[in-house]
Amino acid sequence: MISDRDQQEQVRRFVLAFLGACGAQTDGRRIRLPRVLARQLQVDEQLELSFVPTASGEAECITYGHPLLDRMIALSIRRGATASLLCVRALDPEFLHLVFQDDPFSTAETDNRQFAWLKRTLRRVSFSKSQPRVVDRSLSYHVQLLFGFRVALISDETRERLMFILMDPLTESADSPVDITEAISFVPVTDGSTGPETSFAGDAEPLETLMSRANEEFPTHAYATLRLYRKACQILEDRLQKELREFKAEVDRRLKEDLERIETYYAGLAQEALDPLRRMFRQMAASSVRVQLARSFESETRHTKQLHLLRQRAQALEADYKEEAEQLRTEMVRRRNELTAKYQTRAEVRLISCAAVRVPRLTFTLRFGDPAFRPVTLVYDVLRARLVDHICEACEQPLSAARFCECGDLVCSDCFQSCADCGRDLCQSCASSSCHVCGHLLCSDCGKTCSWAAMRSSSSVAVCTSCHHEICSLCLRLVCGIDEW
Amino acid sequence: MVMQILHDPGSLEVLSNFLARSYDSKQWYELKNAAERLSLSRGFDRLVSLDALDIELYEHQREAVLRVLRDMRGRALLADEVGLGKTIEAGVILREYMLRGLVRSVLILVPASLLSQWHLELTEKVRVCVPVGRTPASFEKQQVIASLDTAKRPENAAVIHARRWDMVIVDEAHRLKNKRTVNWKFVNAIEKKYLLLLTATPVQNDLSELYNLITLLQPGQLKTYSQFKQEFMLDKHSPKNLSRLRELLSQVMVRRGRREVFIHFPRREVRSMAVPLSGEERSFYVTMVDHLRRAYRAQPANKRNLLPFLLLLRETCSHPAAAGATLQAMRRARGQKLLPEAALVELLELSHGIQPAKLRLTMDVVAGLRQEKAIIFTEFKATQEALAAACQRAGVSAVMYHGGLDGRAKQAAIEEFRCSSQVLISTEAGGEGHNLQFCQTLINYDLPWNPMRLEQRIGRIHRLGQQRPVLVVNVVIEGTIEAYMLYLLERKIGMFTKVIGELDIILANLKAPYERVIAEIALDSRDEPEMRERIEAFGRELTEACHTYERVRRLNAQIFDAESQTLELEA
Repeated sequence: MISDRDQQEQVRRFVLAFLGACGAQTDGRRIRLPRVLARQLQVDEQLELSFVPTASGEAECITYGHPLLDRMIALSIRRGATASLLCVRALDPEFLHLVFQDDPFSTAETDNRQFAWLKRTLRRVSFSKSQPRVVDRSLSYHVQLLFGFRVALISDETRERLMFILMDPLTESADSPVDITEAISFVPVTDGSTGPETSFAGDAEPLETLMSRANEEFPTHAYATLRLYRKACQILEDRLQKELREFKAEVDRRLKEDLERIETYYAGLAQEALDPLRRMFRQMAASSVRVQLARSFESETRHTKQLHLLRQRAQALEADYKEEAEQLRTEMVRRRNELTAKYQTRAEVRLISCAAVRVPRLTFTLRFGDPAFRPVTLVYDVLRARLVDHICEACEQPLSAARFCECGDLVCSDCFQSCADCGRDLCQSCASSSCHVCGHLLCSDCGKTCSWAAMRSSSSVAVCTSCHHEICSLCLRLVCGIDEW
Repeated sequence: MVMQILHDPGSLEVLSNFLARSYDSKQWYELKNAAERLSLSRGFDRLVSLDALDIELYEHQREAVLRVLRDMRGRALLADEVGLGKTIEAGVILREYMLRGLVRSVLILVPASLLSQWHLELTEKVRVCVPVGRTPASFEKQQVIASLDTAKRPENAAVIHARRWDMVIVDEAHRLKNKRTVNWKFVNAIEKKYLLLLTATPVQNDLSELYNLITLLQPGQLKTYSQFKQEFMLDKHSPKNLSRLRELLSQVMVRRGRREVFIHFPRREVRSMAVPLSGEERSFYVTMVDHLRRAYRAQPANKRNLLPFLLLLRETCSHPAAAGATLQAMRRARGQKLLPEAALVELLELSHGIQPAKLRLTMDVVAGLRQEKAIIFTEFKATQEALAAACQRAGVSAVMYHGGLDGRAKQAAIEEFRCSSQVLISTEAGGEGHNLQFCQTLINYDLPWNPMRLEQRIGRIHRLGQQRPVLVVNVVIEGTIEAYMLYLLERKIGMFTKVIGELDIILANLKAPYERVIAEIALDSRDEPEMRERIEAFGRELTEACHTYERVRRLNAQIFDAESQTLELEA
């Protein structure tokens, strides 16, 4: 829930930004609008605005819901749906200077926060016994797509919110958000690609229907963007599920209460409609008894006549009842439909903006003194202060702290081990075997063969020296009755 | 999936623009996102419409609106006592729903006498422009306001019932008290999501009326009628299990008594001044009435058109110049004339050069105000001009306000009155929707024949928010129909002491419309004594209507207001 004060502050910032963008001249509360804008906003060119409801004087107080604000909002919404942004201001010149001049792997202290953070991040990559040397470094901008959605949960009330999803085209997954307040507009040279000429209008539809329509209408070069958009929508839908569940549960509770009330009411009415018929049946029963108990022919005839009359009236009443019951049923269905329409829930999603956000990335190429290690490229995301595309080459999980193994693979701590015998750095893929007893990795030069297993099969089973001493010797003694192989 | 998630095809438009690389600047990109954020709807946590409206809701009104939105989910009976602002509450509820996009189509059903007032209040206070519905085609629009009688005509009802309405508002909903009437069935058959019923007196005679209203609103809320009778009725007029009944009603009904809301209304002082006719004035008035009566009676009884006679009679009471303008127009007109040519000539001659005593008295009143601001109301443009000329002669700064001015000119006139002029001379269009509470004196130069209009005039300055006592001066000429009218309003209805809003309910109890009865008395009476006798008889009818209203008001207070019942029991 937003407080009134916060909302008013939002209004103030928006109005001032809008007037600034439209070229209005502001002098305190007094504002001079360009003629075209004044016409669009349906106000005089000279304006006096305030944002404090209690302010005295002639100034027009702009608050949430004010028609002038509504017109400004309407004008703003018509523009600005797409943008191309370059997050260049996030880069501190001193930081850049240090990146290109200094050694990011050195342990020397630095006063620059960004550079210190870079060093800390790089230090988390351990290169075993080899010291890396930066042979190349470059700055590039990686394009990500920022989709802005307006989501409305609609029932007998509407709740709306904005959701932004920043998609990475390489991983096709949502990346963590970046602060774009310091970004600048950047319009790249156009390659002549265009969107479809069609105008898209109509009722909201499921994502699949929308996307199949888009695939038909959009040119082939749009495929990657559409695919990314679809992924973003899927992520959005996943993120919405919890909120939707809560919203629907609330609405369903209200609907259930109302439906119960309606059904009880109409059931009661139907019962009451039966009352005249019930009374008639009671009269008929009494009359029938009278016929049976009649002592004379005359009284029997009289009662039979009466019973006959009552039967006729009962038939009429039954017809009336049927008609009334039908009416009640129709009315109840109408009321139910009214309620169902009132409490019908749905979520509507509209893409309000799409921006190409160019995020700065530093690329370092490293070489090592040990010729066994291949050159390594590390990519550092400056805005998010993390290494990107940095996955364990053994298990392919994101790599927070990495180490080089003997064969030159960058692996995570989980995949990294030392040879149980000689202590060489190994990963799962470059180890030749693992100890049959304790599971530790063994390099190609180390390890012994399990004697007992060797006796039973032709294939050799490795064990580490330690296990060989502790377990295999015992095994030989106990099972084979020999002290030494 | 929990519920259906739909995607707006407009999204592809954005993607298309993005692919075409028609990028906007970052400034506009951020503005768009900020604008979208500002226009979001977030449930009913606060009243979003109020910031933009020039109205200040009282605490009881704010509470009522929030209760209807949050707890009653848009189906409510607004039953505040008269004068506590039900109309504005309904307007704000409507605006809140519209701002959130939950209501697009709305049908407002009001009594014909309140149609223009509702239209005006919605347009100027709540800023919702709802066109008036009269023909079947007009009921196909998204928003319509109409009188219940117009709406229920078969041709209109067919259109109304054939579609779905997001919201239906019914003012003076006690007219839906009987389940067997066309009114009730008509409203019941409308397919609607939200329904607001407005009445200060949900119970007029017996408790079944309350049951019918609530059932219309929320079927089953009070169960079936037999169950309701068994549980809540001792007899037709006396309720039982009051606390349980009130509990059930509180789920669908908002009601506050005047005692519960401590609204301070400033004192209202009324001075009625009568001035005798001067010789030439008397001759003009008597001749005019004589000719009008003769012409009126000459018409066949079943084809009598009262309106032109009424107009001339009203103008004669206002200013000879006003009547003179109409007489001139009649002379110029072709075809059958209301009065014979000779009568027109005679009356025109008599109207020339008369200096009405009423005008002199009015200027004396203005002089006595010692520079205090005052609004002089008249119904006619010619009278307005005569008043302006008289002010000029007397050196009183005056500004004119009438329906012929455009929006800016009206605003400028009000500003001039606020800043510099002492007097605002206004026709009926006067100051509607403008804040005139800086003025405390109102002079009725002529009395409107419809008392509702008189109430609206007073309501311009004597309303919630006025801090100082208000002076209402009525100027009439002795012996004219206007003087009788003032007598009826003042003595028989007690209009000037009534709360705004009560008058309409009282007048609804009359057999024929007030305006029409007065005109018929004036034109159909053979002589002065007969007229006086008929006025007295009508006065008795008015008194009876007041008593009926008072009885109903007490009955409602007894049923709904815990406080009032306690007080009565204590008494």
